[in-house]
Amino acid sequence: MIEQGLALSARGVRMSYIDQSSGDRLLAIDRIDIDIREGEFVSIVGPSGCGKSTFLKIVNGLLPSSEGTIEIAQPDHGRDHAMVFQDSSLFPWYTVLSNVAYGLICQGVPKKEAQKRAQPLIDMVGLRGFENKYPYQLSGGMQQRANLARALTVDPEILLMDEPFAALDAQTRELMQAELLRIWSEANKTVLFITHQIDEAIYLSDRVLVMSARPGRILEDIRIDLPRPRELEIKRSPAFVEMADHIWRLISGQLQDDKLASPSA
Amino acid sequence: MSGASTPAPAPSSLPDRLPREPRWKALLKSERFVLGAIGVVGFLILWEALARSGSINVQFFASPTMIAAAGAREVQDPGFWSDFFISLTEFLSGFLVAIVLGIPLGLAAGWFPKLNYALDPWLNFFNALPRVALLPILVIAFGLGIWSKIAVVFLGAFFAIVIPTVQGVRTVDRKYLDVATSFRASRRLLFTSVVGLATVPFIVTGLRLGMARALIGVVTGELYAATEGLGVIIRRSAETRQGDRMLFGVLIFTLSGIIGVELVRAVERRFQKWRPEGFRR
Amino acid sequence: MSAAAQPAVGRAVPRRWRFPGRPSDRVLYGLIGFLIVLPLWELLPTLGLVKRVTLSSPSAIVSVAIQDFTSPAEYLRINAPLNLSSRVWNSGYEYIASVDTWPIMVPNVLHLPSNLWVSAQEYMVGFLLAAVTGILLGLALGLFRRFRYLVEPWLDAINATPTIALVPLIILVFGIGFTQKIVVVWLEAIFVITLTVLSGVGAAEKKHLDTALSFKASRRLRFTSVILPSSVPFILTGMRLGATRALVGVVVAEFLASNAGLGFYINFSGTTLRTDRVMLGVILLGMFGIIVGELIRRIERRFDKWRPALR
Repeated sequence: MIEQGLALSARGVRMSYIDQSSGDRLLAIDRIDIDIREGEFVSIVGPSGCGKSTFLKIVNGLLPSSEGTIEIAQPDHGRDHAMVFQDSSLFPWYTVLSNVAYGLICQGVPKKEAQKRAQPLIDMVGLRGFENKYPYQLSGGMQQRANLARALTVDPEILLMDEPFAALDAQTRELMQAELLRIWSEANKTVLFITHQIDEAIYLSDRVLVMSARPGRILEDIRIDLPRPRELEIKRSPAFVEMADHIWRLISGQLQDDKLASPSA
Repeated sequence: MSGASTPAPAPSSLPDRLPREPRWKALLKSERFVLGAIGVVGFLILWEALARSGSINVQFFASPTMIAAAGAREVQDPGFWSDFFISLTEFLSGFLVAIVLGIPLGLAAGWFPKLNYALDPWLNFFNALPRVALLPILVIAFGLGIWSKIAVVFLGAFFAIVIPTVQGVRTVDRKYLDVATSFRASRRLLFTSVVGLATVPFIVTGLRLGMARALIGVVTGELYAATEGLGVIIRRSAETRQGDRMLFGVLIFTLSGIIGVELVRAVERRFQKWRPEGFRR
Repeated sequence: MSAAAQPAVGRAVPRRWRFPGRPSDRVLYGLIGFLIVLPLWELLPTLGLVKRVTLSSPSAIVSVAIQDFTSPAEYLRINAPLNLSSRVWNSGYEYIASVDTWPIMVPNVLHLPSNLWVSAQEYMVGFLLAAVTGILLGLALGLFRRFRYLVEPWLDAINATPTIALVPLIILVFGIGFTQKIVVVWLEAIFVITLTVLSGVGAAEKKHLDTALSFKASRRLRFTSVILPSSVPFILTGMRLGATRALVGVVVAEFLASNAGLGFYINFSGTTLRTDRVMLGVILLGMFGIIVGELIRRIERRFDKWRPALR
């Protein structure tokens, strides 16, 4: 039974797999413990290949864990979780409206009603007027808005976001970060956000979990006390820069231990 | 709010390393291999049983053991081998000439736009046309012997090789050309270092298609009008209701097709070392 | 000479890399090609450099085309000495005049519209049958892994076989007639369709399947919302390849055993040494192939609405 007030609780999650060519058992994730409170925005940052996306897929049920438990609060209405995928995972053969309504269709909601219920979310992410466009007719940022709306339609307790802005250019990415904060405060969801961009994690989150290089472990759990609502300018404040620097040191230290092993820097 | 949890798996008792199995043991554990073997053996047994019980006419569908027996008889017969070598000669000569002429023409038609424009309607026409339809003319021109078959094999394979080759030259990624030209590569070097190599996968595709077309050419040519060759064995056996001999002839073509596919695949592997796994065709 | 349509990449890139080029160039050089080939083709037999029986000339083909398209489908023949009937096939009208007793109708085997119609029927029925069964089989093989493993070796073997080799067997089993043609056409076309559709099912992208799984889509919904739409381009490609193979099937089936159809027309004209008719039949066949290919390509483009123009 999950503790009152928690949206997600992971205990001792491990993930290992057998390498096909060598037959060795490799550890991807090593004993992750995480508690996320309801309504909290939590990011996981780490070097690439550290298993952060793997962890998210385990939470999402796409991969089985080898050990450990993950508990997710069951809401009275809606779904327990929904995923916003990395680059556009919108179905290219569906229009924006059909894509956004897809989660509801999967729950057996009739098509007409699903599309009616999808409309307010299309409005919320700012895609009104693009309902009948196909994904290739949208820019990368707009595609990810639709992607977000698709996850929100099923009214999930936790929104799982797997590097949703990684494929966007720098300007669009900042814009989408600000948009995400607006939508988050409007939709009032718990968010577990995966990224390798340190500034993105700090800017968005209440807490940032720093993950080690493979096998992934949580190195530090950092509380971000920056006031909300946050403007983009906050990224240039001394407090922000100091936190970013701290996280950067944690991660690059990891990299040096593992790969560089050179005494420089 | 109630809690839901993923079922807790057994505590940490996972070995860090699994012992590697010998290859044959791994093969026996592979579902694909086991089911495939069941499929092959099961169907052969069913076929044999139906033939023995008289449910199917063995004059048409000879049973596997009958085909094997016919094969054993045939390989001891010098007549079979002379037919076999006739067919092999037709296949190899037609296919080789198609390669020797087809690849250069394809490269040229891809490289020189004017040549491409001039040839395009003809290539499209012959590509859409079943080349075996030309057999009556070829028989008139070259007679019933080996030459009309070589011609139809050549025509079958030639267009199948030319068209992907043209396609390959034309779809060379512009950025590689830009790299080469920015390094002031000569036109000749541009061709050998970029165009030629980038076209190789397309040429190999052409070879594979051409191989299949060449084989169709041999069979059709010999079924249509010939006095010697494996196709004649098939035709004559059908006329005399020797189902076992007929299907043995078909089996030879199947084996040739499989060997041909494997040979082209070997060429493919040789030339595609630099391609990432997922992009190999 | 303007190269304005081209992106401004390094000027050193040779100008000939302007594919697909201006349409006017395409038409111009296409015409030049025809202007070289057609007179040469006309002159070679006329000057006696090539025997007329091995290479007919364009003018002869055009005139025989007019004759065989406009001649009646049946002749009213007054006398019918059976031993002469075969000679009527040869040379058109001349025996009609030789008057005698019983008036009967004899079919004109060189009547092109009816021959074309016979082949078109065989083609359409055989190909559609192959398309339906091939697509269903390909999808089933893609969806049911164990089924695929079970039949895979046989599929590979049949695919490597030139299935034309089975035509004598098909004639034995089904006799000579419409069914035999249909079976040959079906057999020629089905495997390329099946294998292309199968690769299409395998080509469904993991990210899309993951999306469906993440929303807990039912098995049925995963099929209709992800696997089927991803396979559509492959289904159409398979049908285009199958259409070409089906045409081979029609020709060979009619070559080896028939008394009507375009393949019969070509073969019959070949055995009677009428190269002009053989070439006419071949040209019609090629045009038929081009038209069918173009039709399927149109359908392909229609289904491409959700895809950016890749080619």
